[in-house]
Amino acid sequence: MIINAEVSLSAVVQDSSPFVLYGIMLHTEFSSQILIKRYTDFLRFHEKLCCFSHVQLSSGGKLLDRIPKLPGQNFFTKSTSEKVIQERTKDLTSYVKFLIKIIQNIHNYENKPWAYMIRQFLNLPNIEAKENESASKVQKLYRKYIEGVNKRRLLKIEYQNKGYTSSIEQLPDSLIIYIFSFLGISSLFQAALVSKKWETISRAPILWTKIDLFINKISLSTTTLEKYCKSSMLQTIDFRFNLQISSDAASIIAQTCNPLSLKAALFDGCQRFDDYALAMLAERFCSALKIEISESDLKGGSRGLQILSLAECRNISDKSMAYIGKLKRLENLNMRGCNITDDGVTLLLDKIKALKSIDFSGTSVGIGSWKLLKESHIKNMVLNHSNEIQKDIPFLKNTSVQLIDENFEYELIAVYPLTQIPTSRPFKARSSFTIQRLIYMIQSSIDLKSNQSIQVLCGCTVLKPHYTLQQVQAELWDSSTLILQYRLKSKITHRPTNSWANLPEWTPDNYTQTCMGCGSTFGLFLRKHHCRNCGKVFCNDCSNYRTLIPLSGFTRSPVRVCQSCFIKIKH
Amino acid sequence: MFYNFNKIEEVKIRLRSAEGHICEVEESAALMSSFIRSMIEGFNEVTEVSLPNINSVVIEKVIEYMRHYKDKDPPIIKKPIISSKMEENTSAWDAGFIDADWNMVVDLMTAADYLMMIPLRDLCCAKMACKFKGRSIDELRAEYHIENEFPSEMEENLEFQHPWRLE
Repeated sequence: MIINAEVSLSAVVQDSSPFVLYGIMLHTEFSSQILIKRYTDFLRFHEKLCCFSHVQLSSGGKLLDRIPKLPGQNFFTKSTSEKVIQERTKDLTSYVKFLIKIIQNIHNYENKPWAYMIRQFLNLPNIEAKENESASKVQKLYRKYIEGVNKRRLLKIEYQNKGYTSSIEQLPDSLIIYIFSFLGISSLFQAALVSKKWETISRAPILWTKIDLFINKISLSTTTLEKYCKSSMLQTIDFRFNLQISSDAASIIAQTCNPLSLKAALFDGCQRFDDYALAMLAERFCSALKIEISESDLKGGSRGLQILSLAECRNISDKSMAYIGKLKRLENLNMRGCNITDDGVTLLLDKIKALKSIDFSGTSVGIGSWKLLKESHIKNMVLNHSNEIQKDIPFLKNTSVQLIDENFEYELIAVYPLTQIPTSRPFKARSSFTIQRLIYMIQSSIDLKSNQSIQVLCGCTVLKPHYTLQQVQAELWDSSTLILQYRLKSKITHRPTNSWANLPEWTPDNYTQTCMGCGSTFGLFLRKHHCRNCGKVFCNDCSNYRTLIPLSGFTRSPVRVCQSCFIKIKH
Repeated sequence: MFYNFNKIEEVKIRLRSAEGHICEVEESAALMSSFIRSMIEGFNEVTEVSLPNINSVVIEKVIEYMRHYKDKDPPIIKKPIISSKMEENTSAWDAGFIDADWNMVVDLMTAADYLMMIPLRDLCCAKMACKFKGRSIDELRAEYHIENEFPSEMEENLEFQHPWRLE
């Protein structure tokens, strides 16, 4: 160990009797230390050292000959004067240098008491220990550095061979996040485990806006659930058909999720999800939104739960409707197959104004709530298979009710496959059944007012009342479904979105004798054809186009249309 | 003298590349980049923009993209991407445009980020994502020369430690 020593610092301490402190700098390879001593410390040490002056050294000669002389004391000059300090610093440095030389040059000194004294005086044991530590550290660092340099050199050569000049690790984090945002979950996990940098990047909350546990069988402990829900930008949680979601799990979800970012919650088929769980969720979301709502009503913001799906949750009953009512921003509610009655629906509709679409099919919602729903703002509702409604209007098995807009008319449309025309009591489908009779039976089961009318559609034609079902089957040319259309108000002023209701008015064959496209008269060789989109009569050349018309329900095979309709549909 | 007003030439923006070459673009096309837009709108009658970070090869590629989508909106790429083939994710023109070598894609991406052209940046990012999709960890490391920084014991635990590990 090489030590360079120097007395470089001096300071006058103003006391009752002023004295001088000397700082000894001890430089080693990896560190440097300062020892602070007074001149009297040196004097005392020198006196002690002189006790060993008779010691014979193995290299010959006495120790006393080697020991340098301390600068003498002068009683006539003050020790604090500048001249004395300058002289003494010079002399003391030479003295300390001699001390170090003695220790380093003489071997086997460790056990000797005088050597021990010198070592203690210069605080050498501490310095040595520190030196060893830092030396080992530096060695390690150096080794790593060398390895790194070698690796980088190898990598560079490979890059140049392959033509890579810009490596992927030089990209800024923001760009890597953009790249990751295009990856699905499984490949994102693979990328996350590639390096430390990517792992930290992959935890960015922007990348995790959706929990998807659809029919997932992993065991959900409380800690894992907390982890999943922690992401601050979470937008959808999907726990469909996950039987582990109980009220306990719901409380965790409620506590950890960020209620301001969450927009959709899907709990379809969670059998253990009950009223209590829903209450906890709703209260949490409601309390967080209280401040938000007053502000964002002005701004028109869209924070808060918008989609809630609770289909097939058998444990959900009327009680929970009050809780759902607290979610003011709810737009889309799916409660297919829940235990709801009319009372629940009235509770719900009192509170929520923002609802746009509702699914109550398969519930025991009755005709009373149907009337309520009709008056509300809800634009789209589905009430298929509702037991109570079926009791009141027994033949409506596959009822779908659509309320498109307030300004437009209501429609109640029942769609049957022709082979399954209702066979239960009130209707026994016999082939001799006439359409007239069918309509009559429908009329008797609901009280229709005078301005309401019923139409029965098959394919694209309005069936004449005297047709029997047998004849209907014979007339079929495209479809195998029978549509009963009840017009609850006299006029329908819009094109309804239901596929079969979109059908054109069918121009009768004897209406014209000339083609509505080119004007040539029909005869034995020029036959009449109908355009399936506008319903007008054309010759073969004018209507020689085939296309699908999804709006009218022709989705299986292309059908005949005229030229102008073909262009309209294509563009 | 008869003057054809339809043939008035559009103002051209001069883009100075890192090497000092100058490429010219029509103003309407150049406005696609919000960086250039802010430069032009901020200072009146600016017709030259210097881009010291981007070399001329990349600038020409960017200009090709600008000219193609001058009058129409570029298609939006759906997240997450469907397959590792670019043709199935975007339009055919986009897939052909981005079908370049690795360096070009990286340079184009940083350039698009610098010029603030979000559709182009998304296109490049999707292209990179296609290269990552469906690859295993070891394949990715070998492909992009990334050292395995995790100690071997930690790596085994890590797969279960990640908060989003679902399986």
